[in-house]
Amino acid sequence: MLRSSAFRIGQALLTLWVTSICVWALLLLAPGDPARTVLAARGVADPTPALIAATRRQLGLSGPVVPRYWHWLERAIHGDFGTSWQTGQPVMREFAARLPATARLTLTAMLIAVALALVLGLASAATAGSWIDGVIRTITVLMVVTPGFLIGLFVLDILVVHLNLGRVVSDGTWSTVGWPAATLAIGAAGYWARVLRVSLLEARSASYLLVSQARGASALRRLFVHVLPNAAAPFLTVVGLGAAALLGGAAIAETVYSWPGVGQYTVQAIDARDLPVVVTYTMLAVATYIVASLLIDLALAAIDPRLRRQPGHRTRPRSARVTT
Amino acid sequence: MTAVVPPAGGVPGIDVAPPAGLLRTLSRHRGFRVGAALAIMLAALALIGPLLAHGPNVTDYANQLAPPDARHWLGTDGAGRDEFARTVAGARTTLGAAVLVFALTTVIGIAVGAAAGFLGGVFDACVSRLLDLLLGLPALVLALAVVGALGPGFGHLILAVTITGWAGLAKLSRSYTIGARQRPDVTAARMAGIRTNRILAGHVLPGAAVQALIAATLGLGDTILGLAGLSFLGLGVQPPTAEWGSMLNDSQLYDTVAPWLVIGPGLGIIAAVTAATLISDALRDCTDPSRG
Repeated sequence: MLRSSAFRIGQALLTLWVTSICVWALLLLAPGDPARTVLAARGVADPTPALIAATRRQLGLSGPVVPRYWHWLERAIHGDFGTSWQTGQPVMREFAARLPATARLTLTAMLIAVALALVLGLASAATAGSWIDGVIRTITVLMVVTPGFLIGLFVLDILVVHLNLGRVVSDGTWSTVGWPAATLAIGAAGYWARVLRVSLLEARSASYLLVSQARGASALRRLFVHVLPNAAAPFLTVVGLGAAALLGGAAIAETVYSWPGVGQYTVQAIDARDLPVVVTYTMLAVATYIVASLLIDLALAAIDPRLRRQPGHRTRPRSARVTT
Repeated sequence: MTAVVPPAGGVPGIDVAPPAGLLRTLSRHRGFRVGAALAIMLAALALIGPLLAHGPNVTDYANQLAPPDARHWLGTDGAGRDEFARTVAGARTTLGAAVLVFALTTVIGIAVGAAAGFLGGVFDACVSRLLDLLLGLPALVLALAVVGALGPGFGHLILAVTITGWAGLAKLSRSYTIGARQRPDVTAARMAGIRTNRILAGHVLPGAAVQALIAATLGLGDTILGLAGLSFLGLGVQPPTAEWGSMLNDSQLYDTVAPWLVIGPGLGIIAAVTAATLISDALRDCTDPSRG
């Protein structure tokens, strides 16, 4: 257990490191001369060549590639992701101001999605084959196929503007998080409910359940000892990875609702070709995803003894649906 | 790390396609019928639609933001362009891009995966590490990063979605090929002295292709959602090209006066993703023996 956990943690760190190289390399695709843009943002309209050269050094834009990467990595580990080319301010300052709003949005969305998925998935599996199951399955498919931005537009257009049902204020606080979070949650909830239904049905039809029934185990014991732990593994996996992937969907949900989070900020930065912002956002999202993936693997190993033996052998699905 | 190959039987599906049998089973599947009907309707709309509606880019500033009527079935947008014509043209753009991504990811996935599985050695080890890396990262964030680095544009968007989409298929093709190397028919062919590339073409690739196509269909819905989502953010097509995601983005400007602008592209996206989801569910039901 300890050895395979250490192996898995090492693997996660390695993935993070290799990804950081690839993501950092995006900075090399810089258009034009970022030093001039930064100086212009700082109010220097007509910089001298010496000043430009000094700024390029300061931004980490000059010199050989490899030392530049190590320098960037060293500072990134300490929470310094460089300077925004658009504003000339530290990227991390902009992110720190916006991260709480994104955290509120994604956390609320995750709670809503898990609650919805549990209700729909359990109800659907409990009534498998009946018309209730049919209705829930249709609903979950609709939830999966409807993109979040369409739900957002619907909410804003129809419910708020035309039917006057409430207001949407996007100031990034807890009191206004409802609509954006619900919008972000729906796609994930539909997918998670579908996974939960299938894994519950599979766990229920397994032959060990027949054996335990034959040995006189009670219905409750069968449910809590056999069905739920076995059905929990796939559900936990998609929920954990999906929750981490919500950061990607947050870019879209935040843009629809003008939610003042890092996703919307990054989308604006892409339009302005402000690459340090894009790199910071990607690294944060990737790190969250890798940590979530690591925690899931450790949790699954705690639940399922079969996963403890072979280091690196992962039986869970490797990808999460990304809600848009 | 050694255990990248899924255990025997770990790859759901069939060895070699029985096309006639599979089609017959599929045609009895209710979800497949609905999905196929939707897909045919969308394809027909994309193909013959331009004959029904002219000029997705013809502006008519005297007739801006007109509500739906007999002449403009879905109304007109902020530049007086016919929304129905733009929806139909958008079907071509969005679905065309989805099909292009589907084809690119399938071809790249099969080629790289089968090559890695068949050649083995250092090449296989490198490819496997790369695949593990790509599969361990969130796809939409990666696509956003690639478009962010290259700059907005439809070509860059397609490239970004392709780069993040091929790895799963390559992994599948690789494990299929490794499994196929030990199959009796492949061993027999090798013992009969048949050249490697003929064995690959005749015995391994057809099955790998069927597997990869089925798996690619599973990802098609996500591809359409991803393309539309990133286009909605303004990272896709540039004006005046009609595309569903960017049409929805445009509609935001007029959400108080012209809410009907959401109808065409919104229904288009929902119909396309529903068709892809139903067809892929049906394919999985009909090819995975454990599901019956």
